[in-house]
Amino acid sequence: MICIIKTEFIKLKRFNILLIGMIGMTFPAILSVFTQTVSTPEAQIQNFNISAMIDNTIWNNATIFMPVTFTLIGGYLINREYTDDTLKSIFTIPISFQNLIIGKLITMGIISVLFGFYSFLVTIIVGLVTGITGLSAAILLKGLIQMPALALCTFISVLPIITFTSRKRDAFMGGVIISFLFGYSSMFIKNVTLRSLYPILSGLTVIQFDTRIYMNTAEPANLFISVLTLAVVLLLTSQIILFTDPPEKSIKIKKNNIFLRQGQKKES
Amino acid sequence: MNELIIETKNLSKHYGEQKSVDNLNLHVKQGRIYGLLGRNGAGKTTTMKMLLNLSNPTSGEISIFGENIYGNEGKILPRIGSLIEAPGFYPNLTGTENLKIYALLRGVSKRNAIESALEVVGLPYNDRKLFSQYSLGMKQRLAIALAIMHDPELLILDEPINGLDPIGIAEVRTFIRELCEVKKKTILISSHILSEIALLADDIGIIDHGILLEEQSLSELEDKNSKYINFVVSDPAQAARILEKNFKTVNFIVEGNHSIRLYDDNLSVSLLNRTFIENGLEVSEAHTCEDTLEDYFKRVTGGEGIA
Repeated sequence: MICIIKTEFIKLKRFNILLIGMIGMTFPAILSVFTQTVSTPEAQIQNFNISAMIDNTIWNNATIFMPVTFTLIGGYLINREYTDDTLKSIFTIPISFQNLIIGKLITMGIISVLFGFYSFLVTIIVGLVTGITGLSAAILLKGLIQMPALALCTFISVLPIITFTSRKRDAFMGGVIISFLFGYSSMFIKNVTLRSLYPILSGLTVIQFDTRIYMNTAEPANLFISVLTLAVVLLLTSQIILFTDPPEKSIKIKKNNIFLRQGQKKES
Repeated sequence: MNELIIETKNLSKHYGEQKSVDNLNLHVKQGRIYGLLGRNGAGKTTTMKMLLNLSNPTSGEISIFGENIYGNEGKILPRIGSLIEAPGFYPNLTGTENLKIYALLRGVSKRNAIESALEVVGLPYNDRKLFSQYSLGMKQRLAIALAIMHDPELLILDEPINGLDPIGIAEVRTFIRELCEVKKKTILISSHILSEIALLADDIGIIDHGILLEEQSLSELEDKNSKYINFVVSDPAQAARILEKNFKTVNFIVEGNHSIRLYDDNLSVSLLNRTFIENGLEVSEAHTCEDTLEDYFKRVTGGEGIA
């Protein structure tokens, strides 16, 4: 497995999709400052200091940017094996499709955490550049822990989507749309139990993020249920991996520049 | 050296109504080059995919190195090097980086394995050129390097000369022969190019519409090629009557308006010639001929020729 993970990192060399991820992880911080600037005074966050900005960025990340970015990059990492036609060389080593997917998901988990760090750094830089005050060691440490932890939790939340769409070539774009809706919908969940059960919001609870200001609710979500929810998501992912067929049935046979599906007649 | 490295028993692959491979009984002997010859769509790639466990057969058995492939993939596949269809690599990486990935996954311990494999196929080591910038010939060479990098005992190569220029074809042919003769590798190679198979293979299997029509050594096939006597005469119909009446043979074909082919090569050409002339025929040509391998292929497949 370590070898698979190692090779996954080699495959990332000169890989443009990572740049898209970095752009995606830059937006939440900029959006935080932008929305604060253009909002009406009633909608603005009072005392918008670095701490508030980090919280705002975390909220933007959890509900929009991270689910979409992680599903896009994770899905792309898997889908490239179909598009680059490398599965035949991997299967004949032999490495099973399940092991390959597990290796890719672990790699993507590490990348997600790194994106969390990156997002934190960008937030601090944007905050300093735009003259937002209130930076302290305690705030820095809190953000430094919360952002990568959120990235990991959000990644776990979208794992079943990435895994499910890995079964078919080019299906990952559908997964990106589902992830967007999955993240965006979380903004409308007010019920305290649902907030603990909804995976995206579970992550926020696990990292001890105070959602009350963003969700306009008094009660915090339940930490135990939130941890349990993420554990169930991991279990669900493992089951999807376990019952995923090798993609033989979805491989297309290319003859004379025409893609034929199985069952279609080939001309001799 | 007659131990079978690959043996299939009634191997079939059906896609709905279509029989891509039908009751195939393949026998690849140790230390020999087996050429699987057939037109595009004959079932060569499907057969090779099943041998490599990339595709599940509808029915039949596959034995490689004396063991059933199913359930023994972990033991058998690491001993095989393969190239199936077009070369598939990561376009954002160089050739060396691509091979490094597979060397890591295969656990190749030999230090200069990548460098040696690239040297064999004539590609530079640690070159900065990305796979996406490779020509078709370079891609094919890299795929061959991948197939031989881990020093496998058996090579399964699906149309390995596709996209290569004439010099590249000759080079690949030479090192495939070397792999077999010097390093004692067993090689299963497929092609739709008859001349290539004839130059490379020790044993030949002719596959058409998923059915293995013939499986012979090259020398046996050459022996089986029909010899015939070709006469160019003024009246082939009259010549046919003479053959039937005087020589009691019907083993001939009238070709065109002036030619007749006699497949009974035991008869004396001079005697036949004299008899034709005595019966008032003008004989302008008489010579002994032999079917080419292509003629033979046409005859067994019952159709068009092959490149």
